[in-house]
Amino acid sequence: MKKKILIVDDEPDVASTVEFNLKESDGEYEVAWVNSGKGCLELLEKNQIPDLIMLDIMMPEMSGWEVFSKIKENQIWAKIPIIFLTARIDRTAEKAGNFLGDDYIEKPYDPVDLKKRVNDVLKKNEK
Amino acid sequence: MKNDPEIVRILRLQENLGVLREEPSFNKYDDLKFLEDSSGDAFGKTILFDEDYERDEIEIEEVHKNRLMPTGANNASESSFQDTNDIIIYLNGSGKIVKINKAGLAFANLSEIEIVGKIFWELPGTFSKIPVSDFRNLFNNAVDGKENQKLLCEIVDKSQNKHAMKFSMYPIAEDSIVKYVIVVFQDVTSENITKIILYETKEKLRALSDYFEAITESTITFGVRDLFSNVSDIIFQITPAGHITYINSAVEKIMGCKSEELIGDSFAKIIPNKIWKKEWKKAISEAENLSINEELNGFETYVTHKDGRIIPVEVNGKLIRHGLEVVGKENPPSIQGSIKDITERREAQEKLRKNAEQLKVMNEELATANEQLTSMNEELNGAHKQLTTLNEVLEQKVVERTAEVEKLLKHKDEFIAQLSHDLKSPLTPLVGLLPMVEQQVNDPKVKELLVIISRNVRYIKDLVVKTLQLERLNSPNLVFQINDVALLEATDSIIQNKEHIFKENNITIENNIDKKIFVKADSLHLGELFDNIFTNAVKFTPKGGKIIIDAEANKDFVTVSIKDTGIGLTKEQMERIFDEFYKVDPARHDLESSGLGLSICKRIAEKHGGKIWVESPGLEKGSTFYFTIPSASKKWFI
Repeated sequence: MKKKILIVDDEPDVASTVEFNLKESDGEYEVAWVNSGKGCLELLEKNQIPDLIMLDIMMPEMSGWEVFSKIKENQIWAKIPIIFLTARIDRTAEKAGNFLGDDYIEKPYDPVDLKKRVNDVLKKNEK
Repeated sequence: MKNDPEIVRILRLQENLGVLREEPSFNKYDDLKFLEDSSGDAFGKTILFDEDYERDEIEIEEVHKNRLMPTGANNASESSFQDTNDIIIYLNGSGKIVKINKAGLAFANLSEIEIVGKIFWELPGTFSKIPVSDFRNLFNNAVDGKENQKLLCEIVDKSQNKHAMKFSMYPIAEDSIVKYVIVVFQDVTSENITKIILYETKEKLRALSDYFEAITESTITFGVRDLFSNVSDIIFQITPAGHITYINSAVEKIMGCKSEELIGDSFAKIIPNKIWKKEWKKAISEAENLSINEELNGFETYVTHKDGRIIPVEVNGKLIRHGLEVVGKENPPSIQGSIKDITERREAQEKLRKNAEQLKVMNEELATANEQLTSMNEELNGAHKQLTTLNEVLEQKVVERTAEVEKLLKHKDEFIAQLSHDLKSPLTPLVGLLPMVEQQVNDPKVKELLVIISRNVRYIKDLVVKTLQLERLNSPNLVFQINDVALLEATDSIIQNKEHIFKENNITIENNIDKKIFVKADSLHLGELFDNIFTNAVKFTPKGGKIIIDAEANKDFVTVSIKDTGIGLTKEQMERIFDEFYKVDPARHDLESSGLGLSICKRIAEKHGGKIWVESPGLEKGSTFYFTIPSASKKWFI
């Protein structure tokens, strides 16, 4: 069964790039993306629960933090591992990755590095 | 007689003697009575009878006695009674005149009838001038039998001439009862003059004798007079009247006159008249009031030099009396003393006075200066207050500006965060998708083009990421979150993350760090530091090379070393390798390196309080990077 990965990023170019990179690896993952936090929550509410969420932080209307806290408020959703995807280089990225989420990836990322991290997080959560 | 020049001369002499000498006291001659003369004339009081003269008197009296035999006893005696120049009067017991001779009648300027039978002291005319009470006292004594009574008095005759008259009384007794008293008047005016001359001569002699004694005394007092000849002070001796009896040769030096010339002269001659009168007289009278050997000290005055100069002197004096006794007199006093030339002292005093004045002026100047200082101080205080106010204003401005700067810095940080996002986001698809495109293209020419594009995209990405990193590290707002970090764990995690790069380049990693080593570090930035050094090491190490990581801990710092088997570095390169944008080979357009990685490392090491450096034995001999980071000693020592 393919792992389902949901990408949340307001920039479609970035979102589809991540999708391409992840899909590339021999069809290992089932990847989908939404371009807002609202879209992400709507999917979750429709009970479409992914195995991993890649969450952008700087988004209009609803930021990555807000989306993150909404997810963590829900008992079922809270179990979904989250990798932050950020262009920021201040401490928030580190915090997000190390203490709140499962990891963080800085944009622009190295595609090899991206796949490795995703893989690691998924493996960790399988156990 | 009173106009007689000789008398006048004698009177003068007598006056002088009176000044020179104390009033002679003749208490010794008790049997003589001197009449007080209210006019103060010398005749009445200053006559001296001395012993020799007294004898002569007695002889005269004897003659008279013989002459004054009772009336008619013999003619010879009657004629001598009448012919004598002395006035002879016979008085009975009640004072009535029994008989008077011619001389008496002539002196009285009365006839015999007018006189005889009258009481003598009630007579008018010349005889009325006699001192009645004294006469009657003597007369009563004579009636009682007292013999040889004498009295001297002054009587003015009809032509208003003064006469010194001596009268004697001789009681004539019959059967032990005094019947008559014979009164003999002698005009002794000329005799008196002789006596005065005699007295004067004697006085002169006495004075001379005194001086002689004084000299003798001085010799005794002073010792050898020559002793004083070389003394610089004047040594003198004067009589109270101011006659110099001794003066040493110093007077020549001080006053310019020879000492011999001055002896016997008046001291007043060498002292300005005014001063003599005002000060010396006073000083001498003071000296006379002094008891013997009492000193008169520190009397300052002036003496006159022969050339007219006034010389300030200090006089010290002493009243002394001399040894040899003069009959009936206390030894005459004299003043001995010294005169010191105090010109130099005066000059010194003058200098002192001038100095004092200068001091006063200086003091005043000082006071003025002080005032100026005070006012300057006040000004300074004012200035200080202004400065303080200004400072406060400045501080306020600094606070304001700091706030502004902080605000700006915050804006800058915000801007950088925004910029990083805005730059990095569009790079993401480029970096992420280009490798995929490369894989799917088979045309070798297109593939070659894509390699070039990929390389440049990576370069832009690297440059953007590193620039922003460095920018953040330079920001004062960046605060490190220091925690105790297990060094082995931290390095292993980074190595793991970069594993694919090492594999790609066929580079072996050897991590020799002791697992007990802990450091105080911001783990995120420590990771960046290692990442950059590893990237660098991989970049410059040929395939098949090796990277060895080690760490050595001491109490304060942990020194980490990352050794590679790479191309090594020259000395110049080692010095500059941590500079921003420095590239080892500037000639080559190195798209693999931003030239910022090691600058970031340096910043991170320094921000931790450590340092970073590189060592290399030379080109192709590999390099070793070292950095220090504070040791978390507690854990290390447990």
